[in-house]
Amino acid sequence: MNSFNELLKIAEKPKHFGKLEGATKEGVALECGEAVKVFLKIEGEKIKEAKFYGAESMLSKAAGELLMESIEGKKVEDVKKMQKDDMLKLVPFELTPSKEALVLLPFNALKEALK
Amino acid sequence: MNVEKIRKDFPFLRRRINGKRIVYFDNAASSQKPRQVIEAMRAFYYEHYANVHRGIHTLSEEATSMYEKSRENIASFINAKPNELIFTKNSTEGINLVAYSWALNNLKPGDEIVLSVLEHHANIVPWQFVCKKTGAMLVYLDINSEGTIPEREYEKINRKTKLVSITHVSNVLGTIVPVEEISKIAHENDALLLVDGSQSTPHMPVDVKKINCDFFVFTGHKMLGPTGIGGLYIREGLIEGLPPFLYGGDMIKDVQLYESVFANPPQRFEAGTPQIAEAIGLAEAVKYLKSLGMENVREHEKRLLSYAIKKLSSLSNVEFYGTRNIEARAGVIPFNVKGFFSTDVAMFLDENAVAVRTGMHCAHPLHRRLGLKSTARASFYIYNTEKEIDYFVEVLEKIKR
Repeated sequence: MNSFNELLKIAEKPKHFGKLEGATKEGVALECGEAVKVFLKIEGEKIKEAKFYGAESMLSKAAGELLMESIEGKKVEDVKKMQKDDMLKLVPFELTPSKEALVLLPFNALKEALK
Repeated sequence: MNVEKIRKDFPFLRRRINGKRIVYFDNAASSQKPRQVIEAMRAFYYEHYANVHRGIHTLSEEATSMYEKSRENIASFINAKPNELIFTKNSTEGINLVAYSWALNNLKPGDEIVLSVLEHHANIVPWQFVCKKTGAMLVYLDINSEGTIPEREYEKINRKTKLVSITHVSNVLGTIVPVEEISKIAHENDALLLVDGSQSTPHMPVDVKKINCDFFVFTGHKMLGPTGIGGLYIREGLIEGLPPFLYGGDMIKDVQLYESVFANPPQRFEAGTPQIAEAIGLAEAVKYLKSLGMENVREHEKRLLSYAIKKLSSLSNVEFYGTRNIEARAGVIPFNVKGFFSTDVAMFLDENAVAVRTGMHCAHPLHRRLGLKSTARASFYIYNTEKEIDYFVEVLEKIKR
């Protein structure tokens, strides 16, 4: 599979990219040269809205988009239970070590936000 | 230099990535190894292996001779004497050795260490640690937009300066730093000079006596040798007075319960069983480079660099950085494709079997100074060709939305 073009499709216009006004939780993750920030608006038990910001590479951008999409509307307790493998499964490409690190950036930022 | 003949010596070139012939432009990170180096290490393990020093038995004596002969050959490659060359794991360890052995014992508050913004983290982070421990301060030589150090910056080297620690060649921009000139200024001010030769030793003739530096570090894996072996040159007259960095076996003359007598250099700085096979592998790499002639290696890379700059200039979607003066630059080109992050560019290149590095190349301060978030970096070596550059440029041209 041509992952570059697949990625480009997801990362081109991510709906969940940007800063979120009135976020109730925020988290940041750093990886050599890249930083991703995650914003969450939590109402009651659920994540009402989720956005991410700062991802530069298509990999972290695509991963951020897929992750935010998957957690919106979910219970905070369920999202807290998400493991690294759950994140990797969201991304429909074969991941090598450096690519995996970029994909995990938004996930690690989410974990920080929910600490 | 016969590049086609050289290419036959490198088994990795048979490798296909995504069905395509590999184009390896990640040489500033690490070079590939010729079969001669791999074979020398294999032969050592098959036929001559034992621990070195004080063995008496045949294998140990053979291993010792081969290890020490390797030191002679590697030392002569940079015009040093064998007793001025300490084997290390890599350049980073060499710089740390100087930091622990010399700097921590000689610096005090008010002293200054002069670096440049071109430095790799290996030549920044150890000195930050030294400054925290001793109260000395870091001073940075700045660069111009081309990535060279303007002469007026040298005025920062003064009587307070105790050490100038500077790269010979920038691992990002390829800038060749005039270290001989800096050596004069440092010594006029009674400061010592450390030159980080990680990116110069593999690519051009290096003569530590001509540079007139006090310390010089290099790493084997960037110059056709194995990983895990590098060298630290400390000039005669200085090395004898320095205390050990690591303590243990192999670095002593006598050990009593509460006191020890340390060995003479370089053994004083090589505690524990050393990288014997790796030293032998690096000596073979040096032999290979000597047979090509380092002047010829440099000429080949200048040719590739000037060809690549010409080709890249014709691409409207690519910007690249560093001086256009080939004489003052090694074969390293950092670049970006407009509208894409460096990781994306490298992924696309990898899908087409072109290997480049991305990110900030262990030079965060330099990227910030240049106002760049990251770059992709192509870097050349003896086995690269103009044809490979043509293909690389063809692939780059296709990166569009």
